[in-house]
Amino acid sequence: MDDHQARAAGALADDLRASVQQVLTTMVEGGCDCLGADAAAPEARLHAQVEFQGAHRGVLSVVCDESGAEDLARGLLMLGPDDPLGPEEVADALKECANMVAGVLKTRAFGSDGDARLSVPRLQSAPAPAGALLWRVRGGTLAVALRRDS
Amino acid sequence: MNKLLIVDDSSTMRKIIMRVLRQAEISVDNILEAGNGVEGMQQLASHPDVGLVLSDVNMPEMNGLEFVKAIRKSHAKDKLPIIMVTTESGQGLLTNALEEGANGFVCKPFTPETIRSALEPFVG
Repeated sequence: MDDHQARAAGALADDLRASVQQVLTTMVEGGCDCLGADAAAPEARLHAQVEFQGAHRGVLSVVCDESGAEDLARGLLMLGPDDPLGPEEVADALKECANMVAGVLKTRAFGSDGDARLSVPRLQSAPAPAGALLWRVRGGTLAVALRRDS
Repeated sequence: MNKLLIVDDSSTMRKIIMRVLRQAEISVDNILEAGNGVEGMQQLASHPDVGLVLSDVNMPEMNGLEFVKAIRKSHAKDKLPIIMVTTESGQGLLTNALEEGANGFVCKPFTPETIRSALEPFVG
């Protein structure tokens, strides 16, 4: 990686961090804490992905273990620890979180008129990508990563 | 406002919007839900008294732009307002939606104040 590529990768990492922060602080009751990239990644139980298509190709991943995904869902829906919450609601909340982060990142990184399109979010079974940025949401841990393909 | 229709493929987002409407103290008698534009059109056919539509853009089956276009074949812009609620904030997309007949936008993530400002012109 040359200097130009390194600067671009650093700027994109900053945009990703700011995008996650914006979504979690605006939408999740209780907010979040960034743990950086060095903390232990959660065991991948739920992994939501959104593809960037067009000129800026890549994949955004949001990965949680089961308790982390439930914490995220309860935070988004403003539910208490004893409120009922089903597995489908947990999975949908993780996908919507990935969708919002991808949308904010698209505008921050590629501009409001950039040639990037977003796929509908979907669940994957793959583990958390290496180098994921980790966040504490309520009691759980959330890993977020962007893989660039172009 | 009698009836409001929320169209989004995410049940989480539909619940968040309902919660934010309460936080923003927007008074609605009845909130209807749909998971995409096709279901949204079915809800409108079953409930002709819907007074406001909030719709996502990026949805399967029938996306938000197609949904707006379909609504405008039978409902004028001043009779049934449509607010797009979207993660996509590209100027081209927003312009397209306005040309198809959307009345306004809310970008995700949003606060109750953002929702209130966007809906205020259309609710009593």
